[in-house]
Amino acid sequence: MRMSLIFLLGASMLVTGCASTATGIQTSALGTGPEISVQQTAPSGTALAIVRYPAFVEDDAEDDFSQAYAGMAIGGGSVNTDPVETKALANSILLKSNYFAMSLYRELAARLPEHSVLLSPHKVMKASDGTLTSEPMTQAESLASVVTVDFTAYSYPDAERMMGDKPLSFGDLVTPVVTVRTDPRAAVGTEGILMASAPLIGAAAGQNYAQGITDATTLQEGRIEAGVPELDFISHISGTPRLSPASTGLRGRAQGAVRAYPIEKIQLDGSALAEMSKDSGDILEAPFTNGFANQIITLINATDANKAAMFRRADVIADYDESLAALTLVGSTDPDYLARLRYADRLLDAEQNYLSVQSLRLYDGVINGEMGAQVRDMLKEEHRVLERRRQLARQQNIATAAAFAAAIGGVAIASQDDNSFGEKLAAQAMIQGAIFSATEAMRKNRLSKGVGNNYIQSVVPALTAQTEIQVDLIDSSETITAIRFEDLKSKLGELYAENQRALDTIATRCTYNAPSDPGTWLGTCENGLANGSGVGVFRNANGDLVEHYGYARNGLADGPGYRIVRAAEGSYSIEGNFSAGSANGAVQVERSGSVALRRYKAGRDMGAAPAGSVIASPFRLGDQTG
Amino acid sequence: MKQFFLTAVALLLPTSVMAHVPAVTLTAEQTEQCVVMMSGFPDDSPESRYVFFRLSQELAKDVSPELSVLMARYMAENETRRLPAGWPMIDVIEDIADPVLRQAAPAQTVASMSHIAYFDALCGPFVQGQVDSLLAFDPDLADTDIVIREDALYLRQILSEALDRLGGGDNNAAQAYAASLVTERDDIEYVGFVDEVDELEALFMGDLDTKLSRSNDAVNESVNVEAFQDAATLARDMDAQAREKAQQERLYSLVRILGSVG
Repeated sequence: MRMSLIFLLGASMLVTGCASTATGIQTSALGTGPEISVQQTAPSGTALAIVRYPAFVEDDAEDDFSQAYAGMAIGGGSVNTDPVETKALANSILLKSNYFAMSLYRELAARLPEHSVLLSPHKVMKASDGTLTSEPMTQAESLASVVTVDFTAYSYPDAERMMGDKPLSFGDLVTPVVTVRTDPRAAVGTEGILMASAPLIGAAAGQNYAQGITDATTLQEGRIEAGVPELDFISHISGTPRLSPASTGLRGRAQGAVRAYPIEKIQLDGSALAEMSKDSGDILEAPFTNGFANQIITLINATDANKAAMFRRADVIADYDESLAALTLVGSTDPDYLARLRYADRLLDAEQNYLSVQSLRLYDGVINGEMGAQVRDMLKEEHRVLERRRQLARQQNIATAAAFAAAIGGVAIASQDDNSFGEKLAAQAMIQGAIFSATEAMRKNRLSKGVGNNYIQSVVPALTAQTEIQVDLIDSSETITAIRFEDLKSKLGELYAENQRALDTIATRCTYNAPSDPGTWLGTCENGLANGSGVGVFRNANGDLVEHYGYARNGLADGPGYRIVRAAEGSYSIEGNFSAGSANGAVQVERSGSVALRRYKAGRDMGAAPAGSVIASPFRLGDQTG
Repeated sequence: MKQFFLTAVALLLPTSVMAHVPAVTLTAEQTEQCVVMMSGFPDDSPESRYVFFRLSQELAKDVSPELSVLMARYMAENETRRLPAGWPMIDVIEDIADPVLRQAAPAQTVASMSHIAYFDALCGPFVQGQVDSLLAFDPDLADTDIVIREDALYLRQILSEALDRLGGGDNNAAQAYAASLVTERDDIEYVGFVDEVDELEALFMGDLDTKLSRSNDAVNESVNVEAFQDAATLARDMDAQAREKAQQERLYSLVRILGSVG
């Protein structure tokens, strides 16, 4: 009897355990502190930041999305949950991401120059090959940007476990999962990933690498087309092939390394959340957004805006003037070129201004509309639910502690052989009290879980249905803007065509004689060979795709150049002087984890370059030879 | 007249603008000369005054010291073409635009343009002061700048042609001046282009903003506010039921445990 009681109690304790109260940290590891001001000037028609977030999942992708979400849980452990609950949780991620991404947009828009921050909501969908992907719902990402920021408010996909120590965005808790990327041509060593939530680094780098390959392949076919990468969160859950660039901490200054941001649950000010309205302050600003915006601005300041923007700008310019596009990659001082570029720049600015209005209205729709009010109500309700769960968890802990105390006391008395009858009765009562306490703890544990589950099962699906309406806003905006944006571009194109004078030197397509492979050159050509400025693409002896931005003579790289090699293990770049197609002289080599000055001779690395070596760059007008 | 201009400058020029006017020390004689030269400028409306002051500025653009030397060479060959120092500017400008003089006497055109350059060099601060004060009075006056620049470019092209007819076309200074006219033409065309883009941009942005605003309103009307409240109430009811059930289980457990003690 005694042994069976102890066993029963042990099993009870094991089941109930010590209940977690689902708390978070008050201030992010991103830090706080004075606002960092932007020092960067973006080229015309280039945003400084585009905020991307998952806004909607298409009907035929819902099941795939929730399965992928459950199958690649951030926070570890196996997920065993009800499919309906998982779908509700997946949808709650979209709701929260929609809402909290606005906090980041507002902060950046307030701190960066007018029209330099854009919003890009994504829809989650199935690609033509059936894989899960996401696409932008607006044209914001058709423009170049120094950085793009992915934001997802994440929750662990198991309703039973998410209230413990798992990542959670519920009530006063927000778990941001983010990446900050630039163009894959601007930070080659990290495939363009500047900072990312630690679990996303591999997928984000893998995706940007793949995008770089796709862009280079298209370039080889004679077209400048900058693809738009899917959301990194979608890449992560859909199992995109990973790359592992070097990473460092948030304060790290290692060159060629991604800043890794740990997963953290941010706890908002509960009293401020309870009073939240559209006119009240941003509750995410102090604990998270302010520090994150500082990180983003620091990264913007440290990024070469010209390299970040050049490819996509050339893509947009090609819509108006193909013969100019490739020339803009490294620029020129030719007066005809400058005259044309001035016109093209103004068109890009017009596009940017137009899309900026769209972003402002999206923000307005989310924050100031009925949907925003409902999300705020939802957060308040969730907070109330969470507080109830916390209360129940505390009660469960008390009950569990009481059960332990009673059980240990009862067993201790009962184990003595010379006990009196009264002592034996007391021991029995204590053991029975322990059974009751343990039963009570188990009940409170069930009740605690039920409170959260009831909420998820009833409220999230109701709001998810209403997300459709929220998406209608974006969809209708897309319809409006897609037609009007194309119309605007068409009219801008007509204006441009009416006002242009002839260019003496134009960009065309010709042969770029790489050492091992006849490649493609887009830029200035003579007699069918690369001769002047532009970009060349070819495959090297290893079969790796190579992009060369700079100058050529008689079909070979000659003069300042910026060469990117998309090697299988990760990309690397060489910037400096080239002659007869190969690097020659002091160059800067960037690869994962390092940026180093090296000395090259006829394409061969001869060792470290002397300190203070001057590196030629095709992007500095003074270095140009074409 | 001198008093009129000085008073006008002092009265119309805001302190902040005056602070940006380069400090140039003119002798009393030079000041008097500037006043005389500006005496013929129209004073019937701010618009006409603005046009003439700005036109005199624009006409003097890109006249390099080398070009001044070249122009002086043609004037020296015919002293009678040199204008008196105090010749009223309005007459000078009208002379350049005069089609008969332009055809018959290119040296006269050179002399007139040289006179304008001289006027600008001597009286530039006065002119700038007038321009600034007029703009402070009515900023919309700047809207006519593009037309003034086009007119000035037309007159400057007359100078370039005159130099060519006088045989100075191959001179480096004359060629640089001709190149500056091309640049000016580009700039004027670009301003026109930008104006058109601005109009298009304003039209589309305004249209987009209105449509998105309407779209937001439509979405707001479509949102079922009660659906969320119903769902929240349902969740609370489910919680209440769970609590009630738990309470019953609690009582049952207590009775069962106490019963086993008995």
